[in-house]
Amino acid sequence: MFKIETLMVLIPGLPLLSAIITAALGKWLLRSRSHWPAVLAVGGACLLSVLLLFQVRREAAALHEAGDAQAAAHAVGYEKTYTVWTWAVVSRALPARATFGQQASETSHSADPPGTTVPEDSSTSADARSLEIGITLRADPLTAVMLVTVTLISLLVVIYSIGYMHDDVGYWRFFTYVSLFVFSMTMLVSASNFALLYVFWEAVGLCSYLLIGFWFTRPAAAAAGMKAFLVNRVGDFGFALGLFLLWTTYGTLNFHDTAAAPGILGQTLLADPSQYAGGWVATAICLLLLLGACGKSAQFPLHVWLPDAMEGPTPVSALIHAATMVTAGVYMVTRCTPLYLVSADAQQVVLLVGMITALLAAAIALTQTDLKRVLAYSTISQLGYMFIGLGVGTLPGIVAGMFHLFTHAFFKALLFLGAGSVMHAMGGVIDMRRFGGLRRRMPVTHWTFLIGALALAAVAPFAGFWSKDAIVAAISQRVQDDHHGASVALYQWVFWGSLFTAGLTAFYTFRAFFLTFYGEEQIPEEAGHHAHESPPVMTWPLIVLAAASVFVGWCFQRGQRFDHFLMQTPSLAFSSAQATLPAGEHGGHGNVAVVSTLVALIGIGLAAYLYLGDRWEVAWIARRLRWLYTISYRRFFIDPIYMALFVWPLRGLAAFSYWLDRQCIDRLVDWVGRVPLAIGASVRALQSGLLPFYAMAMVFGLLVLIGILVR
Amino acid sequence: MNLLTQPVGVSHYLVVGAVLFVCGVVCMATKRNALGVLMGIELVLNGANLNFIAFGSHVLNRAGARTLGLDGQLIALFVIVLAAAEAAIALAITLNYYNNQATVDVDHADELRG
Amino acid sequence: MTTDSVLYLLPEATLAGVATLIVVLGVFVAWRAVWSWVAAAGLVFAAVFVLRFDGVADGGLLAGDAMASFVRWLVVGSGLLLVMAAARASCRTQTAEYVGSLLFAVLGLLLVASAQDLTLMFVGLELVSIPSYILLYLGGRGVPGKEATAKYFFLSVFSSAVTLYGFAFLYGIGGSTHLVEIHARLIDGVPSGFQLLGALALVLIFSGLAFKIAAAPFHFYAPDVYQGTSPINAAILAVLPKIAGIVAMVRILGVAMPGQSETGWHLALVVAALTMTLGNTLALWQNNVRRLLAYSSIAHAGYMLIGLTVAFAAQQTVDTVSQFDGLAAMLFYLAVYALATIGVFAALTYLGDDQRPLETVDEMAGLGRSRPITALAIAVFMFSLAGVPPLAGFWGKLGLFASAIAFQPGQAGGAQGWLLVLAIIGLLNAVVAAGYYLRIVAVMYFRSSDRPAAGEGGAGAWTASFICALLVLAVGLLPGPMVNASRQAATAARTSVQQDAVERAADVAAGSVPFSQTPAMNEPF
Repeated sequence: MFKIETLMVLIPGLPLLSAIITAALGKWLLRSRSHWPAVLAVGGACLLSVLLLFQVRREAAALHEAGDAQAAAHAVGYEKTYTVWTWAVVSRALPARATFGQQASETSHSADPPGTTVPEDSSTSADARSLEIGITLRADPLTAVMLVTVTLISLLVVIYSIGYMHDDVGYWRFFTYVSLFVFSMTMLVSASNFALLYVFWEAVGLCSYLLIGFWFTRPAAAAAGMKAFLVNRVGDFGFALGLFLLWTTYGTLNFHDTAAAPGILGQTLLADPSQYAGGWVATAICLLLLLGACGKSAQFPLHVWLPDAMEGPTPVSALIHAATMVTAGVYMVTRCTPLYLVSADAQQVVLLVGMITALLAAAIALTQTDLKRVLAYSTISQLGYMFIGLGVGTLPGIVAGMFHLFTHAFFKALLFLGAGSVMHAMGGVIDMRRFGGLRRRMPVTHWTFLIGALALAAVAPFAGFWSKDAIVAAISQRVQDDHHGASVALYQWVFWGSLFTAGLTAFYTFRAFFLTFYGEEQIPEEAGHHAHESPPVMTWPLIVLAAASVFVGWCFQRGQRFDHFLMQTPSLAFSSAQATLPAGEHGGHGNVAVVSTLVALIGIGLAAYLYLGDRWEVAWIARRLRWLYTISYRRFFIDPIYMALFVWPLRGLAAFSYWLDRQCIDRLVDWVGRVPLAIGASVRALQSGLLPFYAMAMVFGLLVLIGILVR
Repeated sequence: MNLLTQPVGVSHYLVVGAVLFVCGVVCMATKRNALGVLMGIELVLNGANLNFIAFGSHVLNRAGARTLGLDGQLIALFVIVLAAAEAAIALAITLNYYNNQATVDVDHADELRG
Repeated sequence: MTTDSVLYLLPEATLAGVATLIVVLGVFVAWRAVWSWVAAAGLVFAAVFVLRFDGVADGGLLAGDAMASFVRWLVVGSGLLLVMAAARASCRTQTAEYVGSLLFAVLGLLLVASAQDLTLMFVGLELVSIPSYILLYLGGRGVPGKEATAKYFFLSVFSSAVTLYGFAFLYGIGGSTHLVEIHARLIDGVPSGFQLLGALALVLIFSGLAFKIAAAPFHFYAPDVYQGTSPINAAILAVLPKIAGIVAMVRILGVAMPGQSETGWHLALVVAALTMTLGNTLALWQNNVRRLLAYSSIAHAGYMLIGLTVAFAAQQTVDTVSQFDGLAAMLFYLAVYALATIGVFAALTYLGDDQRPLETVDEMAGLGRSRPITALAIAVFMFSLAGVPPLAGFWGKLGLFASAIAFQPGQAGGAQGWLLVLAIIGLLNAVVAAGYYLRIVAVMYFRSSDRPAAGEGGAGAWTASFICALLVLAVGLLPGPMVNASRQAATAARTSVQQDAVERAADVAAGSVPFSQTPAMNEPF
């Protein structure tokens, strides 16, 4: 059997190898065989991830049984870290305990309830601390779950892409990027310090940028890539500031404990959570990290890039912009649970952001005519759900958020790949007004899409039902627990809001489904001879994902396997988090399940009523509620607002700067640039080429040095 | 400290060494003839050698009781050998130079400059 | 000297044997290419021995410390790359003599690497110099070649003499030729009546060594000589004496002469600032590639002296950490500089042909199209020399400037402000330098030429430049191991001359020496 460290290295290593091979040989040697390295590597990584999951599960269970008292006292959850090498060392990077540290500790002391101490004691003893950034990988339940999700979806998408991309000019380029993405994403979820996390956070962003702009000759694709990149920069800016603040507060960026310092999410701090910095520092860290998460996970107000990102190839939309990369924010916030548990304010901000995003995106999705855009807004909305789960601030909520991430990856990838299959058949047309009634021509796509839609609409017993239900149940639990708390109204509102959003979700999902597959058969002329079912290499991944969408929720929810496994993660296993578990036996949320299923069925029924007939009501409603329809169709005018608020003023500033640069600075620089040249020219005569002169000059130089210095 | 009134000691040798050094340096910097330059170098080397010997000498250091062993003499021997090697190369280079330039004046070589 | 020390000298012995063999048998064997292979084999054996018998020397005349192994690796590696790069070019001349001399120079440098005694140091330095005269003589072309040889020879011998004169004074005040004993005696201050000699020794030794590293005002020879000789000779002169000079500076000035640190940092500061400014501003005017690179090499000597300045200033305030930082940054920079320099000269060798080497920058036009890989390698070297991240040169400059800026004033402060000024001068110079480095890149990529370069310099030169480019990239992406090695080297250079090293270093290290540096300390002897 593999050692766990081997698995940890091989899982990102294989895709990296594939990326290098494809990049080096793809253009000349592999050409139309370029998918082989990617398929083999990602398949291998997937297999190894499953092995890793089982190994982690076994060892975590062993840890649990070994010695209850001793192990429980010494270990919080299960984790294993492996430092491949120390990447960079900046010695004495944090000398300033006297300046900032002092202030920070004072303020946080004053802001804290008495008795809590900021973990400054370890760093005050040494006057300087080195910043060591190691390539440190970790294995724990959270990472294992993420790895399995990422590699499994990636494998299916890669296989699907063989069919989807088959005659593209950039075939090898596509698989290079995808392999690179899988490498970056697996590294992102395996990283055991914030610096490395940040590096791969950027790396997946880069891959996303490259893949959105994959057809870079299309102006829309290039612009969308740029937009995604720029909007993400805003988030990353917050993330980076968050890291700086973490560094100055804790003096380390590691998750795990090292000899030099206790890690931020390491055993030492988790064993005694009162050591976490509180007050404004905690809130600031959490909000800055949240800003980063909002950028990556397309949460309001940074969600604008994701719909445009649909310009990329559809498999990319399925893989990066639905199932994996966009969930990085959710992963990161989950990973930082200990930090968020300290700050109730930050938690409520997470909740609000999630709620606003979920509702807003669902409302926009109601009227979009582009099938992929409907799915994109649906993704944003579902990510909002995950944030709601995280923002509930109890362990069941957080785990439910992660569970929703897990199930959502399957059914959303399924829906996107289904949409891709439709798009493939329709010759690249994705506007739902231009095709319809495809169920006979594309039976496999139709059935699998139906399953995905049912899962997304959260109809029992499909995957989405279990996870969304868990989130809603967590909120209602919180409402019950907090019934006399100050912010109970907030939770109450979120509860109803999430139910309403669930109804909207069911409606728009089935609207898209009916528009595409039912009604009169209508095929755009671009389709040509393509208008038939996709080849097996594309339909098989659909079938696998459909099967997963049916079973994955039920299988893992049964006996709360997923929850129990995930709770072994150090970040979730520590005492403060466990304290948020409801006192009684939880899981008895039958009435919530009934209500949410009812809501979903109402949504589906409404969609069926409106879109299965001759659809005259639709036009009528759109006419009667013109302004509502316009707001939704125009996506709440957020893009124009951003345009007016940020883009145009900045363009003006750029134009002014350009003028200033050309007219003033350039001339100044030109002038300054002549100074070194002038110095050179003036001493050039010394280089006379005459040996005696050189000797004389050396002697003279020696004499001057002696004369000045020897006293 | 007036050296003229003192018994001959290390300092006197150092002065002689310094004189040799300065002579060599001046010779190097002023002579146009390659062989003259070479002589200057030999003078500088010998100035250094004299210092080594003086510092290392038992006799001169008797009063100060600073006996430094044979290291000084040893390094002087090494220097002599190295100087001989250098002289050999110098002659080869000079000869070759003469073949090209038909002179041994080093200030004819000013093609490379700037 | 114990048996261990004899084993320790196996690399040197191997090289001496192989070099002698080559020179002697060269007369009889007509097939010239074989000697490059033999030399390469000798260097590989030497490398194996360096690896096998690392650090077995126990004091005496040799210091088998981390400093020695760092430099020995650097030297053997450089030697191998140079032999590769010279393979085709040397076939034109007397191959056996050429390669043999190169091996002798490498051998001398190996001795300098671990010399702990003035005599051995001087012999080592001369063993670097003398073969390089022969190399210049053999490798030069026509009248400029002879002129270059003559200039280099006379000025170099003069500088050796100056160094020796300084050694004599150091011997006088230190009472020994052994650096450990000198340090032990000077640690409590120069004996009364000898203060003048102490400062004089410092200035003289520094000046002599400054010639070897081509620092102003002892740099005059470099442009003329590099221009007058072949690219591969220029590489040898730009790398081997520079390593020798820097190592000798670290061993003698950096650690073995306490008590002169105030004079020392004044001296190094002035020379550093002068050197880099002169080198960079003059390089802007050059069109001959080798001459341009000569000025660039002068400028880099100036950067490296920043490290020495920091070390001196730190010695004065007994700030061990800064001292290590300065010396370590200097050693790291030296290695990075050596890689890039060998690489770029190897590439130039490759681009030229037997009749005419590549002379001017203009001739490099269109290389990006006609020789894409070589042009890319040259671009990598240029960016590294200019200090563009993420290449090796960036970390080198970062280390040097950071060591100067991070310098903390001790009880006898004063150096801090000046070091800051020096760092600023260095940064300005780096900006100026980017001008001419990027010009070369621009010429290669943005100008076309109807006469592509010959590219007849041989596969060895191509491979050498390619390897160098990979190494520069690798060190740039993963600077950690090399930074650690240079730190350990700097620490070891100090502890090797300190009798009571362990006790002193222990309490220093406990407080302020970063964790990663401590394992490097050698046993005292």
